[in-house]
Amino acid sequence: MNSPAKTTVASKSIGASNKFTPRAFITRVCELPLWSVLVLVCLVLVGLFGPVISPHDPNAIQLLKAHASPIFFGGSWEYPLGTDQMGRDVLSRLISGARISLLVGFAVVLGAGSIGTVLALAAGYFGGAIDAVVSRVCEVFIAVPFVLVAIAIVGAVGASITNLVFTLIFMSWAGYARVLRSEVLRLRELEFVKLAKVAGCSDSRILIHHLLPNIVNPLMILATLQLGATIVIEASLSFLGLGVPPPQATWGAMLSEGKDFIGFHTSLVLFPGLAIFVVVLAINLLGDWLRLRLDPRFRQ
Amino acid sequence: MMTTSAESSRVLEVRNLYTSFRTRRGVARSVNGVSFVLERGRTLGIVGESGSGKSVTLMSIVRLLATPAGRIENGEVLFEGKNLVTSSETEMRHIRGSKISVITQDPMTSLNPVYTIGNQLEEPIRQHQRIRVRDTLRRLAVGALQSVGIPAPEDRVSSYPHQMSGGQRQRVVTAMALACRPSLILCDEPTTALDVTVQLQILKLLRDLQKEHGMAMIMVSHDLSVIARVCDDVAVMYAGRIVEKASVSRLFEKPAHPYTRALMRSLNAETDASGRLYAIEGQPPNVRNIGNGCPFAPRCQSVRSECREHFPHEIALSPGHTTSCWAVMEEAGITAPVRKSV
Repeated sequence: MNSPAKTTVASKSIGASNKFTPRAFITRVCELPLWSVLVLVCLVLVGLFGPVISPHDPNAIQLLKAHASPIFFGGSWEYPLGTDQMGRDVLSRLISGARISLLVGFAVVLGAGSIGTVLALAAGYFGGAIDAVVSRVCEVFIAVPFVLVAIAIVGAVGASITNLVFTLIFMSWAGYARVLRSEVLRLRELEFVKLAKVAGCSDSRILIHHLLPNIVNPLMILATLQLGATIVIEASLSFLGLGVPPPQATWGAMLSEGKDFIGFHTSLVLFPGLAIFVVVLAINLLGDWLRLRLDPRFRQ
Repeated sequence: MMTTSAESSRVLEVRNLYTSFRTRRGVARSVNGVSFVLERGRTLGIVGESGSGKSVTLMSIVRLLATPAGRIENGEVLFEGKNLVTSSETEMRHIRGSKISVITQDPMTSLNPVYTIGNQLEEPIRQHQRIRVRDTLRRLAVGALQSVGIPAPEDRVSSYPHQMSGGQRQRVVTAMALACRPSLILCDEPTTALDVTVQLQILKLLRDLQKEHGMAMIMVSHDLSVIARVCDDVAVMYAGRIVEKASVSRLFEKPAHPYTRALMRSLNAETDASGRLYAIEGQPPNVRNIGNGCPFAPRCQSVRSECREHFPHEIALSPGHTTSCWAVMEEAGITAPVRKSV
């Protein structure tokens, strides 16, 4: 981009990033979210082609084959990860549950993120009455205990995937709105917004073109954190029997059912727990990387 | 007195402008009846201390006051014959950027950190000239960078703001402001945040570009040396009022208003008997609580009784040199009817 001969501040700072500095090191390490991408691509593929690749019907009950051990604990290749208390194939159920986790996670993040972002932009930029209303409602939503209200709502409207998604969106948009609003408030006062107005930009152009790209960073952080959190919450609600109704397998429900046998058949909680852990970790690492990539200050 | 050609060379005329902000602690009257005329190719400097209404005057002209608190209460801003105070927001959008531009104080926050400077330079051109061809836009952006003296503009268009120094960013902001060849450019302390050496470069650049394009310019500053370097005329503001207006040389040679004189004394590093630097005693008044009198009266050394009751109307001391002061009027032997302050 710049020849080293130029003695501008910019070329100096670019030169500096070639040397070993903590930031450059971190940037480089973060440049390779190979494992995250691999894990998530696998997850998406498994989610898409679940029924095709799954070795057994995830809901087929075979009581005679209950509590089979996984392959490396003396089991057979027929059930690589063993079977649960009703003889259902754990691997097939994990695959089937991946689709649900993915669906719920992304739907909630997308829904809550969009609502939160739009409200934050409107509240932060226009201020006044819109801001007052959005902020007060946000405070109410942040103040109520998340899981408790989610339990109450799902309990009232009945457990289904759709209800679960809407409940989680309903309960989590406020976090986005709150954090992003403060970011918009800060940005709004910066002179580039004033200069954009001076350049003749309309409010909508300033919001979409000038403010939105500047809040993508915190939005990414929030979204990745929440994607992980949503999978965990879906698991908790399923664990409580308020998530996705049985017999549909979800990672949380598998944990919940497996907990009764944790003493003598540990792998029933080990595999769904491991799946949640790996996926949430992968998402968080990818989010970190994305955040750095999206900020031109770290991109050099 | 004024010929028709002089009338048509008027780019901007501000008449009796009043701007106030409604705050929780009352109404802040930031601009109280400011009037001035700006002709093509001229530069008007507005000096005054913090809170004297300099920036608010500028922002009132382009109608970019903080909403909903800020409001133009009264007065006219005639830009090329059109009253901007009563113009619609759509009309203002067409004028801003294409005919009137603003250069702001802080180059660190005046560029959007997520876009390349080329992208930002293209913004006013995109908005006003409806050019959508990428190559053309990029060429115009490179040209704009070249005109403000940025080396290797072809490379620099793809830089991000954080890769540039403060002085370079201010050059970019200047290039953005001039991209559509405005006829009026408003500079809100464009050099305050810069090093002294860079200040000089930017001022020279502004001066040169102004001469080149024949623009009118308003330069707001609290720094008299900046004003002296760039401006043709100066208006001295105090608590929302213009207390004195004159050409630069005249103002520095023969300041008339006690406030201006006090400013000049504090500028000259004059010391009193005990070797202390001269300073104006007291604090500027609270603009939430201004009476009808002269706002400088509490700090003025030649204060008299009428000062506290009525703000004096403007008198001409010589062509182009006006001031509003009872003491000066008395010295000059002028008695005039009292203009009621609103």
